[in-house]
Amino acid sequence: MKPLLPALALLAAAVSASSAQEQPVAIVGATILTGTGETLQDGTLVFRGGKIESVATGAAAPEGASTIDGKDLFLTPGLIDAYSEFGIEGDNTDRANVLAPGRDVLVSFQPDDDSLWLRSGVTATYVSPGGRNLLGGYGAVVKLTGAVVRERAALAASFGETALDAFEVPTTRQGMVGLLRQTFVRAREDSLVGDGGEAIGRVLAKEIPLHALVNTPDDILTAIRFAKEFDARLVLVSAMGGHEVASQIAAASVPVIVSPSIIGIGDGGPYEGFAHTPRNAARLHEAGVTVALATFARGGRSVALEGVMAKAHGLPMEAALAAVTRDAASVLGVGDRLGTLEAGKDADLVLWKGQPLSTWAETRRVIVDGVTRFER
Amino acid sequence: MTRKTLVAALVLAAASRCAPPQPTTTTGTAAEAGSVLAVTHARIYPVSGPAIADGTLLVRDGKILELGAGIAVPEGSGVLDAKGKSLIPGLVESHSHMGFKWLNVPAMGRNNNEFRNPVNAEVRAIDGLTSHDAAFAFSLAAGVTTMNITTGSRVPNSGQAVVVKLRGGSIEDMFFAEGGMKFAIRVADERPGFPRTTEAVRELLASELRSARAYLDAQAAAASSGAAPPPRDLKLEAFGKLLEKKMVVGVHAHSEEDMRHAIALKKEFDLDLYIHHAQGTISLVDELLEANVPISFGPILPFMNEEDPVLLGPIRLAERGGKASFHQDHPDGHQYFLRHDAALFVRKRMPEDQALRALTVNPAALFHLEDRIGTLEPGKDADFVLLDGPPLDYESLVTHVFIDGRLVFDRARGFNVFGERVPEGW
Repeated sequence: MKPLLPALALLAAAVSASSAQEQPVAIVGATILTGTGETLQDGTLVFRGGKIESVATGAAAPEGASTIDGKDLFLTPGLIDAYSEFGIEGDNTDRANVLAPGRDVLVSFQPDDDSLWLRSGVTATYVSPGGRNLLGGYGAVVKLTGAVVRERAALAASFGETALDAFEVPTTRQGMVGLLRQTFVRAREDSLVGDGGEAIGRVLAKEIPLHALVNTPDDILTAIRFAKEFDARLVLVSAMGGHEVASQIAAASVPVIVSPSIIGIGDGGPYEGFAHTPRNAARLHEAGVTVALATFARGGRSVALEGVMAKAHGLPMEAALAAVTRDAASVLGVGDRLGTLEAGKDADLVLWKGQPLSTWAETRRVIVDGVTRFER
Repeated sequence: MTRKTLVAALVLAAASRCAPPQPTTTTGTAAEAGSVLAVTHARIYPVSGPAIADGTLLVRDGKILELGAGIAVPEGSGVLDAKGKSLIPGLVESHSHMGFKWLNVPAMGRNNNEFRNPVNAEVRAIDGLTSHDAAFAFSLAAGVTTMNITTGSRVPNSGQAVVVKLRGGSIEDMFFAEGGMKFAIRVADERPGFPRTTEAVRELLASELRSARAYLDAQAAAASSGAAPPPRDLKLEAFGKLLEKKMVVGVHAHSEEDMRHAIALKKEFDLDLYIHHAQGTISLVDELLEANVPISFGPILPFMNEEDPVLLGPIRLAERGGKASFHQDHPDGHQYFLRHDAALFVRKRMPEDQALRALTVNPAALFHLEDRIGTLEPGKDADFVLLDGPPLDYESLVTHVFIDGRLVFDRARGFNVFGERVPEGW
């Protein structure tokens, strides 16, 4: 394991010190959307020491618990942005090497301690090492407080327009995939020069997924072919044209991370975004694909808006909520800790005034690891 | 009484570039001179007054004839039953570069900043635009009917903007009004001879304005003495129009400091001036009100977070009677979000009527077009938008758009006057 950076370690220590309260806390009387598809009216959620202890309808607060009034409020899991560059400043690309599988995004991770996203109800995100290197290295799942949930959570790959724009060679899509294949073959036979062997080895061992940032329907199918060839777990990232090949994505059991609000061609986006539609998430969901939502950003609108947009464009409420909680957590490999309100999971909680994922929903309180980080 | 359906009444109007998907009868349609289109049972937001719960809007010859509750529909009118729909004025985008950066293809996308000189006042946007930008079609789907297309902000003065209506056809077909002069208080390009500080940008613009004053004086002196006038200088002529308040100037300024430079120019030369972007508004409400400088704030979504304190700027300005508009600055921002921006401000406690004004009549007034567009009143242009829900709800979609009384967008029928494919959902 790579040691945490000093600043991160401090942050993590601060969080654990303040969240290690022994007193239970009960949120009482809220409408609880558990993220598992259940809705509990007049629900009570109890947490202690940063973990959820119980979730039930109409339960009284346990003896000695401090209480938070949830009346007229909704309670959801903290939202998860499945792909962002949160905490990254400056260039997130290794400009010197089109292949940079050995990089670790946490080396340049310096989170802001007062994130506006946190106020919007976002408590965790996958931080990507960017979408320009053909192989960009490890991404990580972090809390918005800066605490690391899972380092080296995935290996980033990209062989679309963003990568072609960033490097002189390869000059073609086929050239990029050819180089990628050669690199994976070398890693498999353990003859890869440099420090990338470990990351690719983990992908080949199915310990972590390959996150392929691709957009056109054909690039998506190429990514699926490539993953099958190496028996790797694949997550499609961005996938603006995913709706055109939704049945093939579903048949390959590949989850996708999409941004309904991302800008497609004709409104300033990349040329390869020609097929983008905010209905993408709904179309993929209808085909049976697991969908997680993301901003792909460092700030600005939060993933809550992505959920509202996905919902406005056909994704059912339950699926939209799952796409920013449970399904995002499972796609990112942190479903054991995040994404639903169940006993034993992290106490990452949001109280909302107004129906969550609607135009007028507003956060009232945001709790991370059992500590209130924002209160309106 | 025979009432024609919407289909019969309207689709034909789409004359310009592409045929509607299912052409119907050509007789008795609202597109014909003198015939009336009635939009009935809509929740109408005139913006000039309170909402009308079950309203009728009558249109004739491209203008609004009448609107209100319980208005009789004249015999022979084309009728569009808009039960369950909202009806608002067409949105006015005050700041766009659409048609300059075509499809974001680099070879086509270098048209909005003229770098020949730091000051290029004689340059006109209308000479460099293409109507073959797919984003125009997207913009109709977002409910935008009028758009100010400005030259770029990478030079202190990149030229003159143009206001178009998104009625299809060529840029000439779309022309509606002059959009005014563009200033940019910004240092974006350090080429030789270009100012290196924002102070120097302001001083350069001030010195050109003084030269224009001298030019006007020399012309006047020549006219009164009968002497030969000075050789014509299109740059100084254009700046002269600013001094005579015959042309508005829109200033690119983000920070409080840059906005102060813009306000100073307004005061020194008594210009008809507004500021776009205006992120520093929250610190300058008094100064903007005192100098009577309106702002156009943006781009907002998806770049800004709803918790960002700078959002309070336009709210504080508007609650004290100042004029704020919103913009999306295509292709930096996405036209889809213009209406969502207003919703975001309502979330932050801006009254809904003020937020709607910021999308319609306030931007129209920046170009002195508020007597023609921006509200729904008899005699005004029949530019309006129907939505399937409340106008400022993220989940509502634009269903129909009319410009000058003609149907230019119909979501259900897949019709868009620009004839470009709008991917499903936008």
